[in-house]
Amino acid sequence: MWVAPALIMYSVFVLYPLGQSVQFSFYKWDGIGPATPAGLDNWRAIFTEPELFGSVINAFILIIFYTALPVSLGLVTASLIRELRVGTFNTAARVVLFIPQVLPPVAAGIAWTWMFSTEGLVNQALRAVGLESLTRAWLGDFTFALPAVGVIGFWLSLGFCTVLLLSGIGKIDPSLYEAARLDGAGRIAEFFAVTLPGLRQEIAVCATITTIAALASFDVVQIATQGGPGYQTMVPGVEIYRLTFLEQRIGQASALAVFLAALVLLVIWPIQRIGRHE
Amino acid sequence: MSAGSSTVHQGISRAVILVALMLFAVLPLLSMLTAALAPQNSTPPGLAWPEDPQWNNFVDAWTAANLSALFRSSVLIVLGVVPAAVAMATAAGYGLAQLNIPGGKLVNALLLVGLTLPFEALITPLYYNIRSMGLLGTRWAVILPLIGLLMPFGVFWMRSSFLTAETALTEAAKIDGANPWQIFRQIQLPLAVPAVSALTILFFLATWNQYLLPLVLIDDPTMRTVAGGLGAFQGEHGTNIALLCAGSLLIIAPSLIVFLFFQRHFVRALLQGAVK
Amino acid sequence: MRTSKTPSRPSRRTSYRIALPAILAALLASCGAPGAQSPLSDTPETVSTSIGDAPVTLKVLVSTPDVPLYEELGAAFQTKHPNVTVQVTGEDFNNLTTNVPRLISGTEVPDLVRLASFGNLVKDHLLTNLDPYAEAYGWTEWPQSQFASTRVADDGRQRGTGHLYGAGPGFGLTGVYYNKSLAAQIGMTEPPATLSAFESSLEKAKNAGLLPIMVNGKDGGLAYPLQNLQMNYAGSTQVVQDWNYNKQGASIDTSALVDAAATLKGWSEDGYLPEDVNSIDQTQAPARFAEGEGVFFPSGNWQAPTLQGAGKDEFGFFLFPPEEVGDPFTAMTAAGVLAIPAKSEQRDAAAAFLNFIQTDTDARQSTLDLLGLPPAGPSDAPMPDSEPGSLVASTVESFQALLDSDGLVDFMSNSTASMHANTLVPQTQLLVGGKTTPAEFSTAIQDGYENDAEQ
Repeated sequence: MWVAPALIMYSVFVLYPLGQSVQFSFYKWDGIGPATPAGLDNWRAIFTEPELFGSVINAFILIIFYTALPVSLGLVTASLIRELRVGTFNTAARVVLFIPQVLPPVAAGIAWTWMFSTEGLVNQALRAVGLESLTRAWLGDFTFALPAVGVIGFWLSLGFCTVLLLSGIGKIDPSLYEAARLDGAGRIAEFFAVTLPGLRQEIAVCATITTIAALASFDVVQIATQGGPGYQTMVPGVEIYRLTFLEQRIGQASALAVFLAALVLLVIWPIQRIGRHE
Repeated sequence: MSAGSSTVHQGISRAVILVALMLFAVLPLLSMLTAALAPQNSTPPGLAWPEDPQWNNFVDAWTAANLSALFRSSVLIVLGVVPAAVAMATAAGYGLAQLNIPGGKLVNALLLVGLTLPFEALITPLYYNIRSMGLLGTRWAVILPLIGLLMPFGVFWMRSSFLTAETALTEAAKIDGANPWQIFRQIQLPLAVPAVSALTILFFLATWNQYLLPLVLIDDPTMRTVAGGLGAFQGEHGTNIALLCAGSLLIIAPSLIVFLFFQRHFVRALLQGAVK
Repeated sequence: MRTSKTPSRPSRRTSYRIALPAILAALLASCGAPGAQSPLSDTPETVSTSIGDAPVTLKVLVSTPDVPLYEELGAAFQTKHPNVTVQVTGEDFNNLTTNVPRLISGTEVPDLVRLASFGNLVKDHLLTNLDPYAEAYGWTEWPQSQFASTRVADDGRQRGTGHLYGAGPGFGLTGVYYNKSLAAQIGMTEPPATLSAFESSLEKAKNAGLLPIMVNGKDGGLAYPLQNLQMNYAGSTQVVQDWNYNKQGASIDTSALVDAAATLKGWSEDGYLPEDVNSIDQTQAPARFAEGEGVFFPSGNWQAPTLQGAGKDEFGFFLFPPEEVGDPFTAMTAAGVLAIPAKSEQRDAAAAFLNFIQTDTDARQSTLDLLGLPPAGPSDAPMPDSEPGSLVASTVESFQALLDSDGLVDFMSNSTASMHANTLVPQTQLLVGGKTTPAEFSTAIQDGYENDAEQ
């Protein structure tokens, strides 16, 4: 009774389609005509078609920008600042840092497309400091397009991770730091002995959320690059959308979709273990 | 920390770091704002206050992007999703946390599957199912699946809130012969108000910012959410930087306003919830 | 935003153990092969050239830039048939081409829809066979070459033969725009007559510190010069035409394509293309060209009205030059195809609208004025007026010349459903970015084609 409405909506619109995705992945189907069984062909193609496999690799590279960098930078910031005390400035800081996370990712995509464009702020800044030679159309550049998409993700994640880690570090018992100092620990030793273990949970939460965002990115890439130049920024999310609606390869799209879902679980699993209370 | 000068020193470096981070967070928005105020069809610089700010661009963008229709549509979709989803998640969370529901463990496990599931994994079959239900192109096509997709997070959120709720009053009420509904209404729900309101804000943002579902399930761009409509707007006005930036800012505004208005509540709830 | 919750940690492992059978159950629930719908009939049994008097709403779905034209055509049609309301909706072109299959297989289908390629649409019986209407309206008496690209054979794949599935108000035509004052700077007084003359102009432009070519590499503008080069080197349009029309066993992976790719790549290496070529889209390229960036701009006649408006007499148009003086000129063309979805409930009215836009004098004039597309239609229909000597007039002249010399070929982009977005756009980007060799490029184009044809 209490649970039924939630469970029904969830079953009809999540579990059942998930089952269908798994099923479709073993068929060759254009979405309209009759489907023919395809065995493991679609699954094999994920590893043999460079375009598909490349999209998976790109998603992993995005983890560096969406997860690794924001978490590390957030940790450094947190250990330098220690805690956000109450106060107007600190509240303001917390709110402002949080803003990127609450905006529609589509808008972030548009904002950064403008930032990275030929006339955008990034190039303007480079010109201002005399690095004219480095200016380029970042999102259209083979070397820099993927990192540039990464920067968008970094922007989305950084504030959130920082605020979360700051609030976590504020909860660490100050006496632990006192004790470490009495033992003669330097700043670095203190970081590894007290801060890092104390923030396990927060780190795990940050890493989980941002990793999902990286692996399942769609909005930002679809707006900023559509996977280009070449296949340089193609990610599974955009690939699934195209396979389904443009190429009408429903089976292939479903195989990639299920693979992506499994991949997310596989990557999240160890992160969750790290965050577990012992 | 012991010497006064080092405290001052630390205070300054703290402030410097924070200000730098804050700048990074708002810079793209500021850049959009200055571009939005530049003359239309010009090539504005990345960041410079225009000599003659064209506030009228916002009015033009409103008309060009058909924002009246999009906002109306977004509001309808939000109204369809958020109250229902919050109610269902709250009820289920309460049921799972406080009542020993048969099969509760199984339900938990099922929901866990959905917690990390990327929307893309479902979009293909969802499209065909919605179509065979005859809902394609209507707002229900987004509302119903979105409720389902929000359930895992919402139920876990509410469940953990009810798990930590205090039990003494509940026990007392039980002894007095109150039924689960009365306990829920009179004791548990009032206690869970912070969690419920945080969830409402989260669901609002998730719905308002939703892009993939409306893009795929609603063909008429004016019936999508604003985020979904923004993509089409970008395709049409790619060269008119001023108009594009003005339109984007208008679309961002509600998310931003809701967040700023509820931020005190929101950040705290989220931080607690995330690590609870 | 999603947040991970951890309260159920201790039971998580067991949870998964329970979850697995549950997923299997969900799987079983959805067994049976998908998609066994009974096919629609795509050939109307009775057709009428009359719309009757009952109120009719005709829903027309086109790409956004075409909306003003179709609104005007719709208004003109409504004046003739007061019981008809023409409702025009615009959608971003890329979104439109991506979504057409699902749009017209859905529940609320438009009555007329803009198509780029046929893909599986005919095979899946989603489009109306227009043969009965062609018969009824006498389109069969018109020059038939204008309908070649919209005929599809019974296998649902090969084009250029078979039943008619689309018609449109006018025809696209590719060529090269040039900036007259910049051309004068490099001593170019008249359009190049041969490819080598064109290439030497490019070199002169580069040496003069000008950008030789403005082109939209982000969304496929590079495919135009590529295809022109291919046709030049092949010495005939047959290979690419067969390939476009999906003839059995057609292959584009030939030395002509490899050479064409090598030339295009060379242009990029020589600095003839903009540095940010791969981030320029089809709205930015004409805007930047109009502002004086680039001596040449390979594109199509649909840009002529805008460029003419941006600077009277500042821009000229010529057809991509052939190898030798006297060789035939070639260009790509495509009808702005409108098709009637099989599920449309207003087939007769939709067909009447199609007939109207091809034959009505004012409608034909609007098509040229607003989109720059010359109409075809009956052989005795007069070509609409364009200001003598104007950019639009010169594109119209080129079109008529090519119509007579049989030099019009369909776009490679339209060969299969995803050729444009998934193969040509990214591969040309890789090519000019120096990330692929001409031989690899050529193979990749054919692979993409075969991959699509298999579906």
